[in-house]
Amino acid sequence: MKLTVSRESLLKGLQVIQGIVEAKSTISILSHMLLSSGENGTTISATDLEIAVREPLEAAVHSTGSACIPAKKLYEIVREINSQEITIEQLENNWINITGGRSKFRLIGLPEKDFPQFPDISGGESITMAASDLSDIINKTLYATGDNDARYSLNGLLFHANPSTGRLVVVGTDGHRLAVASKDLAASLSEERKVILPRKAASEARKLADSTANDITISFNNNNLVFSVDGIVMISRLIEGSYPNYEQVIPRNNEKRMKGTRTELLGAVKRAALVGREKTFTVRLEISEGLAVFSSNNPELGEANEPVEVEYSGEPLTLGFNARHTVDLLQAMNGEFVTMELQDSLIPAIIRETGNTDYFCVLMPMRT
Amino acid sequence: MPTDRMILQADRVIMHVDMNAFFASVEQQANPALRGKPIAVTGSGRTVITTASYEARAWGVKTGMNKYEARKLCPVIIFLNGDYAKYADTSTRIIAILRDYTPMVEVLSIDEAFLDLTGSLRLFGSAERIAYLLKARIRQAMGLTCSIGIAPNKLLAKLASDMKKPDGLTIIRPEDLPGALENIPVGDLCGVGRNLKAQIESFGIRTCGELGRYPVDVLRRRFGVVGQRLHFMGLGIDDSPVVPDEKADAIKSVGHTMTLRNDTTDMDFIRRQIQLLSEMVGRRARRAEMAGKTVTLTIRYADFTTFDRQQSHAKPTNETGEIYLRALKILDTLQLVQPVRMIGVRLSGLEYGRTQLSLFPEERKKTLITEAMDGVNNRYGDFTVTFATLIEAEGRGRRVISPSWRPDADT
Repeated sequence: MKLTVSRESLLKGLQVIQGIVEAKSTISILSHMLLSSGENGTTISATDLEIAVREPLEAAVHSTGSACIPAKKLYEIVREINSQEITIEQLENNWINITGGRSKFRLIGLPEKDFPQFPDISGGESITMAASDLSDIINKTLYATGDNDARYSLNGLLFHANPSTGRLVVVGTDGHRLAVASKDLAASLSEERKVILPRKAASEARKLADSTANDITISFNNNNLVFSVDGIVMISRLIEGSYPNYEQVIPRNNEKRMKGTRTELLGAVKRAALVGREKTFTVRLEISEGLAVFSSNNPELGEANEPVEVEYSGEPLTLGFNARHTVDLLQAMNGEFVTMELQDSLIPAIIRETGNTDYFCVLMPMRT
Repeated sequence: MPTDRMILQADRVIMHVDMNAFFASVEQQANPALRGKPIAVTGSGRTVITTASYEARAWGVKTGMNKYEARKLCPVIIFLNGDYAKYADTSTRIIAILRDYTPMVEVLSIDEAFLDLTGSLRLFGSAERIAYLLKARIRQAMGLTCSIGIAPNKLLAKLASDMKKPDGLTIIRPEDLPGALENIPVGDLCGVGRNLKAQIESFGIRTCGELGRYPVDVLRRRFGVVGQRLHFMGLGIDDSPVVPDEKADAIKSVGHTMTLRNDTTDMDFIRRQIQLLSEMVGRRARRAEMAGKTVTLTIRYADFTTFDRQQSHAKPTNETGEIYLRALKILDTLQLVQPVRMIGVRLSGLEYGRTQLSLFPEERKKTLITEAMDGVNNRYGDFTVTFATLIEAEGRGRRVISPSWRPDADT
């Protein structure tokens, strides 16, 4: 195999796979990428056995074939090389020549036949959505997922496509907070789908969505979810097991409503948390008519007091919140105002972007 | 440790109180028939002696001997199973007396404490007077004796209390230095264990005097920061403060170990003991409002080979069930090749944090049940309410006193 590519397009292609290739994998082939040229053009593929990605690469092919190249090293070389064009050539014994301008590199590759076969992505029903919508929906839910939680299903995002409501609902929760974002389904599915996309794959899908302005196709393919756009295909295995019944944790009787300016509330929580006890991140929220006061105290440091003007009329109420969780969700929102729906200090709070019915969060208070 | 911090604070007055043959003396006070007789307290179900009375010591009986060896030396010795609840209670009462003289009381273990008396002298006169007051009150209230050391720092106070036993009072004054240490063997220094002692002696250093005069550069090259510290210890310099309570110095880990009555290969039994230890560890962590990411399982085989394995999780926990599951996961990775003598469970990587209730009702219930159980057990004693599987477990309700025992945490 021998081909010549523009540095710019190779760099872009390599950026896409960097998050998937595992630099420290115990299986050395997983730190490699497969570059292949054949009848269907030139492609780059990479996998960590959970996620696999394949993308087209525009190249002048001198001779076809495949090469298995250390992905991170190639990326570093291409990033630094001082030439508009780069030639990659597969030699005997898996040696790979990389030349560009006056630079010459010779890398040790691996036998291409050892590279994991790309999964079959044919079949399965699909839905299509704007890349910016996919990015937005992941952005608003991913922060709330569990990380390395023993309850495996929490370490991913629930994609719940419901043809009877015509909505795609994406849910993330770590057991203390829950984020629910939804969009209209732009295709009709034959049946309801509930799949759990692993955290890492969701993050890669967001990156993919951020790299394009075109529509993304999402296919439900057996035990996989496939994202395709601009000829790039990303397939991820799903987390098996059932996702907790998230609707059950959404309180129904939160009648106290507090409306405030999002950035003001965000700033107040951030500042109040500064003197909180390290690592507990509990801030106290006292709400009375027209006023919300965030406060914290730490016997070793002192106190903080952050009043914010809000719209509230009703019984005064005091709650505690995990400051980091509160900051996360206020940052994920982008409306000017947010509304908190509350009941008492032991009932989960619902937080919405005022006027936006497509997104809300549920937050379990901390005991103060 | 930077040199400029190590300034001899000659104006500090530190006292070390060490109860004499504590467990044995408590037993002799509880039962007058035992007074004046050679007795030894053993860990329950085991044959190893934890404390021998002075009468038994006169026959050569020492801590760490087994019953057989002790009886060979002293045929009339009386053995008693340790009653840890009694010792913990006595200790708490003694510490309450110490606190009458200064709030600066650092409880080192169940029978030892440091007091910083610097600020109390104006009230009570001299440290010597406080020592006599303390001794009299402890003797009157509990019939127990203690050895007291008074010195300008903790290192010397501990050495001093060790010099005269039982019922001693030794004072090392700043002006006694460095001569007071000249002939003290390095192994007597607090913090110098058997291994370190052997390494120091390989330099030809046997006494504190020699240690203090030894070129500090050589010590530092060989022992790193410890070398610097050793140098100061040899000179009798120690600026470590008396740390009054547990919270001032946040605890870094909580752990419990348990030596089984009989060595065993019964996996069900081992799992049950791990559950028991998990409950003890979980309860301590919850009481301190701490949760940890790392669970360590320690196993000691019949031949005393000891090893531990640990696993860390992203999410800190202090729930008994979760600690138990994590410890079992570690156990699953082990191939036990010998009967097990001792098991330990430890929770580390601790973070301060109140438990946040879960959004999920079932999990919320679990937390609330745990809290209710803790509430009952705090009031009516450990294991009043517990898991049905633990009813058969060994050592339930047996108070194991760990070196990190604190009076406040156990009452």
